[in-house]
Amino acid sequence: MPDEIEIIRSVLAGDADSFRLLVQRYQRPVIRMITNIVNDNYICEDIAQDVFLAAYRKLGYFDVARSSFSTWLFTIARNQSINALRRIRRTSRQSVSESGDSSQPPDVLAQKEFFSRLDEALQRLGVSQRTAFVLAEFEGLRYEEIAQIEGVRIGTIKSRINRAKKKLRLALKDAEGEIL
Amino acid sequence: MKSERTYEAWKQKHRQIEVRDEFVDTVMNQICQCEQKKRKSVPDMRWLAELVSEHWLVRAGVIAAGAAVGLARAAFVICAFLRA
Repeated sequence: MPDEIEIIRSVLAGDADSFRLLVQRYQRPVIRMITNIVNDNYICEDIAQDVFLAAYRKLGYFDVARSSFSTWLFTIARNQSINALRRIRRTSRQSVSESGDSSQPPDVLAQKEFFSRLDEALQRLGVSQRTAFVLAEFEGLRYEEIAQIEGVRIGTIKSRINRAKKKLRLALKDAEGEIL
Repeated sequence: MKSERTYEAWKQKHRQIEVRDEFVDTVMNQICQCEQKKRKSVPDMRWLAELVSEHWLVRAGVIAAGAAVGLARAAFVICAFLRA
């Protein structure tokens, strides 16, 4: 696989098709990040398409001295996700609870219920906490990278993630009390 | 600890995601359309640049036209100044 900088140079030189390699490389993490922030499977792919299109259009502004390509791309994805959340302004989340399916073993049902509670708790987090948590726990990014994406200090990111984790663990504890 | 296992399993679930095989093609089609629109919106003026750079007569004509426009503009400003 060619180096990212080589690919970017090639795209900027007029070979638009080289951009395909970048889309192939980053489609999964970008879609996953958007899905986990926006929590709407119907629109997350549309947002991801907009992210790659915006990245293509702004590629000339990407500065390798300032950040890695992935950090730059995640910043675009983060901004588009937050814009989408503002557009949606959903007051209630569609909760798909499958707890009524009695054909499944009790352990599986309990786990689904736990997952559902955690999903709800994740969506109840503020956007900044949720984004930081998603980038750290689901995408495995370093705190420095997340701070760069969010445009805040590392300490702020650490505190956002810790608070998010506390809230989620609390939700899990509450669920344990009710389900088990 | 069970809750810890559940929490890890939940995170694992969120890390797995299905991506349509056509996603890359969809993005590349959009980029292709974007490029076509860009080409249509910017008229191809390369022929003019080539013409100017290749023929000295055309170059002289362009310079003369530029000088004439400059002189006309200067005359207009001077007239406006004298009238005021």
